[in-house]
Amino acid sequence: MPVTDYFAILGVPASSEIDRARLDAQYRSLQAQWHPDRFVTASEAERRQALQQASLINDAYQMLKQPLRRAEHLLELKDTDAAVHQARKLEPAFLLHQLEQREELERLGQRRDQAAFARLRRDTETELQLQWRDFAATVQQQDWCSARLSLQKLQFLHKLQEELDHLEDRWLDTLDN
Amino acid sequence: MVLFTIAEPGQGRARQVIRRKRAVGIDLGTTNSLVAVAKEGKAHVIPDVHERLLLPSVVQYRSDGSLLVGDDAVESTASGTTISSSKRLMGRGLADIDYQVPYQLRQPASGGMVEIVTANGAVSPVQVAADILKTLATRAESALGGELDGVVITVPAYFDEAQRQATRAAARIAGLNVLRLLNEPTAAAVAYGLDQRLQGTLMIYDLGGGTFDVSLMRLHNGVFEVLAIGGNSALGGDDFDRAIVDWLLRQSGRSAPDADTLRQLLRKTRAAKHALTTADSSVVELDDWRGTLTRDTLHGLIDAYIDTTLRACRRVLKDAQLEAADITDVVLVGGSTRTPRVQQKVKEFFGREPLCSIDPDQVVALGAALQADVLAGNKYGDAALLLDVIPLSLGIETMGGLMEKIVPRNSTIPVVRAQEFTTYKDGQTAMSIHVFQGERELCGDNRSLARFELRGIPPMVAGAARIKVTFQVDADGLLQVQAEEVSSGIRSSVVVKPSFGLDEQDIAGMIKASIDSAADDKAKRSLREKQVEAQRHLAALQAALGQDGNSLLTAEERQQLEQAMAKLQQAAAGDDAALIERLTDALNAQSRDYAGRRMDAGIRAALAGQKLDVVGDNL
Repeated sequence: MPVTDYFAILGVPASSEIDRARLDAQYRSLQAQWHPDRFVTASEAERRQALQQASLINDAYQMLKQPLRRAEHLLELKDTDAAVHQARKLEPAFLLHQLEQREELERLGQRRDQAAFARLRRDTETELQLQWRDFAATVQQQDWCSARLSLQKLQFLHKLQEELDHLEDRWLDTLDN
Repeated sequence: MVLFTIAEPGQGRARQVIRRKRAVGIDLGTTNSLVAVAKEGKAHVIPDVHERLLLPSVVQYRSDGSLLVGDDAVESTASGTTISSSKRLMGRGLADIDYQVPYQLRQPASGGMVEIVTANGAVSPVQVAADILKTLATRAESALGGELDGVVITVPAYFDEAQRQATRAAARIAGLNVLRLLNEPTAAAVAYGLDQRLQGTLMIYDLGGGTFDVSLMRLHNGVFEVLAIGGNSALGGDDFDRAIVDWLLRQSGRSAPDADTLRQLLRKTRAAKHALTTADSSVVELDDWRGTLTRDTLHGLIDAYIDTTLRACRRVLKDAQLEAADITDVVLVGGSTRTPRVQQKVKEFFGREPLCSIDPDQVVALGAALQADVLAGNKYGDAALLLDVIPLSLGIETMGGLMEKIVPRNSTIPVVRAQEFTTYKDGQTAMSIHVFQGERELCGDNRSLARFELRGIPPMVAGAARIKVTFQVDADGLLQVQAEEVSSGIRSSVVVKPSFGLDEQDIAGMIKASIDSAADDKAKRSLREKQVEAQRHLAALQAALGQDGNSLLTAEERQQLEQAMAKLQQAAAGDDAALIERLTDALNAQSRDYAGRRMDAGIRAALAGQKLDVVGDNL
């Protein structure tokens, strides 16, 4: 089955960087056209179609507004040699560093160490920024092989960031109870 | 994209001039309910015959089967069971209710939703909501001059599927066509967006009697996009009151009070709380005990609740990946935001003065009315478009009772999501799909919505079957789940009606019970007309008595007239059309003499060169 091109659906250029204001405007104008609430007096068939279109537009917007999912989708569309490229392994140094950071996260979670938490968050954000720059450059050069590696690193870093968020949520939750 | 060229929107739609649809917005609140109507982008709340806008969400059930709704129920001195704040019981089981209520609850033998024990047998919270809805619908119908084509009813954004279905069921029992259940904060944003032309990123802080909701919205050229919502469906101004009541009980050394004392305490608490909006302290008396509630003590009692609401705000900001500084405006909704401490703490949190230029009691109903007008097809200019989200994640149970989320919370609707699963045993031919709603990891901690089976899977080794489970949430927020075995094409689906709500039979039973002649719309309309007529007479007579009742009537005459009025008032709240008509006629006959005297007085006054407007229109 061919991959749905969400960039085309929302009418924005397929790239790693995106003009957010333009994306938002396109989304709004397409929903203004296709949202089921615009079809309350229409026929059953038209309403069903509106439901499908509006769902698709929502999916596309969800996909494109989040940088990591946008990057994944971009490679899904562009990288025709995905299977080969995905088989390439990340360098051990990166993986080792990830392992250390995860252990650090677990430690500070147990101790409820806010200062160390803030430090780890800052570090992760810096690394993410660097990695995003790297990704954009490889996409620019259409070096899909390096782009895949860069994306894998981004996925690791995002996962770490998510876990930081979860930990913060849990701290907030224990305040609630 | 081929998909976008199949049909042009609006094609083939009939372009005939049709009657403007009668559509209203109803704010079915924990404490008060309202009904509003909109035309050409302007909305107003519909008052009752006494010019009151708010209908207290209170119903009194009496042993003779009659009932009183709203102010009549609040003011009633007759014996019966008076139910307030029952919105908190919607779609809930007894185990969910971990706080005291001033009436007796019971779990029906069949399980499911809690029931309230009344003087007239057990009553479901759905029935209470239906009785409130009916009263509001009658009010709207007499104002708009005919039956309603549709209503938009607001619900807290954080209402789960069981609570939403219970609300829909109440509307069905009340004989209403629901165009949409609209989230309360969203409705408030619509009101601000359309009425005050507000633009930008809005945080709607909605603290009602029993629920707290927060919504982050982006308003841009008539498109209202919900970015994230959060809140707590069991936190509200009632908790403030309860905290104060508990404090009063502790201070006065009293133990668990009975229902009557509790009600009395609540009244005193609300008065004290109200006094503290301007004074620094307020004296509370309980029989022989006398104590002082200071503003500081009040803050100590309620701050923890307010802090919980602010944490919910922080979480919503986080969900939308925004900071407090990104917010253009903070809008206050709900009666409990009148509490000065709430306003103060919200202001501190967001670093800006919150907006409350539209009456926080009315704003939700006004927004609902505006949306009802659009959804009924009453088009005008650039109608607003609402892009709403689902409040809680939807998913299915996987091995080990784990929740696999398929549609995450805050997903914009409509949404269609599919995920593939597989069999775990060799030769497995059936798979049970159990649908849950909630954020917790274990299904047991979330709310069960539905369960269905996919049968006839061709026998294969474990892990070979490909079961595609598709969740579809339409623009109304209704969920449909479908399971399909991809290789064989066998499928099965369910439209979700939560197992926790009422089943169809319950609802059908209530519809039948609530309308004496269920199939007879004519009788229903005639009843409503008689109710409205009775209310008109009562209001006119009341107004006349206020003007010259004492000068034109003897004390005895006045008392007799008032007795007849009370009788009619009571009958008008019930379903007996013949009785209402008889009592209306009787009251007319009884007041004829008085009307004559008023006419004479009016003529005398006119001859004396005074104004004539003291002569009532209806007398």
